[in-house]
Amino acid sequence: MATSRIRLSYSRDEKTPPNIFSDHDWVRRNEKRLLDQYGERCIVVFNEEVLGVGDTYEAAVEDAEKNLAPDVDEVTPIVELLHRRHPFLRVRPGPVDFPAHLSD
Amino acid sequence: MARIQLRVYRDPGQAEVFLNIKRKDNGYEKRAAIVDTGAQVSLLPSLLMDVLAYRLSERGSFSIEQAGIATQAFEAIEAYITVFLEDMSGNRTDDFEMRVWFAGTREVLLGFDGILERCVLHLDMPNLTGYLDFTP
Repeated sequence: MATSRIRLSYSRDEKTPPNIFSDHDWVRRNEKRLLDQYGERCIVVFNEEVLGVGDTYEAAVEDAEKNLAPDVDEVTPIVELLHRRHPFLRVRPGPVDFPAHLSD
Repeated sequence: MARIQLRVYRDPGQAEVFLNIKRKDNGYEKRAAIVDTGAQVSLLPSLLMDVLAYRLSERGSFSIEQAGIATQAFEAIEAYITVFLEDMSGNRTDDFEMRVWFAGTREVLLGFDGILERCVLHLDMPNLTGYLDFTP
């Protein structure tokens, strides 16, 4: 990204900032609340705080950049694509032939 | 290669692994992917195509019927991306190229083609642990 303080790109040999993993776990733990608050949108999360929200990846990053305090040099957030989870992905739409005794 | 620890969750149950995906700016994007033993091919959100580096396959854009998402059909673009896997302990695989479908999804699903077929999958739900073992 062209933004200067939102770090989302890392070199091959660079150590991963520990917040990448902990922030991902935080989003998983708080997914329902985040979905209720922001809907199915992109969020930028750093140290268990939502820095930016947008309908696209780029919009969320731009929003995070605007919301960063002026004295912050750089942050290493994650961008999560919030979405409602479905228990199954492979159920065919349309009518289903259930056993007769269950269809009455 | 390496043994890569999974991130295993309950409610909803899910096993994930961290992918580093080559970006257009030559860096790597860090993104969690769901291990999906029902997926032939890995799936990525098409909205990441602006950020990630990819090489289109000869198949290019196509429509898939009843292929894993509960609608009649969906459009996808087949491409190759460069990735490596890593875990919180710093274990990493080498870089490798894998075939993916970019589609209108918000999930990153890790399927068999080019990746799960290359490793041993161990999943221990009672203890919420697991790993992908890429040892030859």
